Amino acid sequence: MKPRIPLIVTVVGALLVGGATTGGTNASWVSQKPLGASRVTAGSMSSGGTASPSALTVNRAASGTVDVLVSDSSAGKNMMQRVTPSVTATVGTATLVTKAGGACTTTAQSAVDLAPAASFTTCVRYTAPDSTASSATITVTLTGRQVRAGNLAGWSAAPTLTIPVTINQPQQPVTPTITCGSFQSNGVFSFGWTDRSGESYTVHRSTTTNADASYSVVTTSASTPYQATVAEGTSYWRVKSATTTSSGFSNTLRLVRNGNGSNSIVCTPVTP
Amino acid sequence: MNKMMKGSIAGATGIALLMGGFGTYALWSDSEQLAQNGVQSGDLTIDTVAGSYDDANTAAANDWNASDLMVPGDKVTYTQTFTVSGSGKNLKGTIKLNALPMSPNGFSTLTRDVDVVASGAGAATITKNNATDFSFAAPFGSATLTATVTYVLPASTTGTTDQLKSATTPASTFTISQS
Repeated sequence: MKPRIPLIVTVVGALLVGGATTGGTNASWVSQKPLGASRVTAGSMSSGGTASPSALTVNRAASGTVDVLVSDSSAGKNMMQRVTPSVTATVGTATLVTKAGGACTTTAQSAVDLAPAASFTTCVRYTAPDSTASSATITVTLTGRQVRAGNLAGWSAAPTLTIPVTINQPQQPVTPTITCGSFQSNGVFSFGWTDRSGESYTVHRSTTTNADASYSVVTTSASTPYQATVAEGTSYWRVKSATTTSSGFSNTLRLVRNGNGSNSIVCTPVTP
Repeated sequence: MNKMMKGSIAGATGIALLMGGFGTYALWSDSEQLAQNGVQSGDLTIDTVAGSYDDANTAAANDWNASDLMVPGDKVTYTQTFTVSGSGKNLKGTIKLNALPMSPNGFSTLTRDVDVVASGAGAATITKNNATDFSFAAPFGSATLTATVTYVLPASTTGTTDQLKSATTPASTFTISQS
């Protein structure tokens, strides 16, 4: 039995040490509480425009207006956006003016500070060029900058809105061709041309020579067939058509009157 | 039993009785009380209340909701107070906030800072080692520890950077330990 004594002493010693250690662990108080989770989310900055009407139609060299409703679609507790609208046109001229009392004014549109979901209406005034252009595109740029305490800072954006423009060109007059008609009565002879809708016709006459400078207007509202009062002798007749502009001269008829009677007036086209 | 035997027993008994009565009255005595005594333990506790958000851009208190959205230039704080108490003649130990890192979830300019400030009667006994670690070498009674998580979206954030992003700091453990 004696050889077991060191073993027993060792085991007991280890247990004592372990107990002491365990006792030391248990002697330290600990208390815990959680700091709660926290979360933040960023907002956004944007704006958009809605044109009314969505497309513009104007006549050549004429003006028209389009209302643009500018709406702020930003999000953020402290969000404030300064929108500075501007406008360009591919052809013609476009300007932005304020809208007041339901009408477009002549006051240039300036920047507007918008909180989220706020809006304002501005007015695009467009003038078509005096050219043959038949279409144009108006581009409204809504340059946005974030504002803090009245100062520009932070986010920026520049959404655009396009407005198509149709430019109506006036009907171009067609140079008429006149042809000899027939004897109507003494001193009256008819000639005619092709009548086109939208055109008016001016009859010119020269009693001297077939030279441009010698012609004068007989009537500005002639209709075909036209009954010309022909004086004795030789006279030259030609016609212009007109819409908003005039055509060139038609060909020329030479009328020669010699007395009265059905054969007293001879009509002959003048060879250029 | 003969008479001789009986007489001897009676005599011995009588002598014994006489000797006993003589001894009782003859010895001195005295007494004192061991005073009532006992021990009491101290304490080491930490308690808290729910935290709250604040828009640091305004003078109002707790005027930020968890659903509010930040924009550049905003500073938002999440503040939670902890009440700690520690008593016991030989008490010493540490107070530590194991602040977990923020999950930026795509934010590129957002910054987060965590800081704890001690206040109250026992604050003078508590030593601040860094933003989130404290130690005390003696009982401090009670103190208030205010933990503040600060989020800043810098005003220098330009273009459309960091729009509609969300960042989260997970719950972290505040531990007060005896050492």
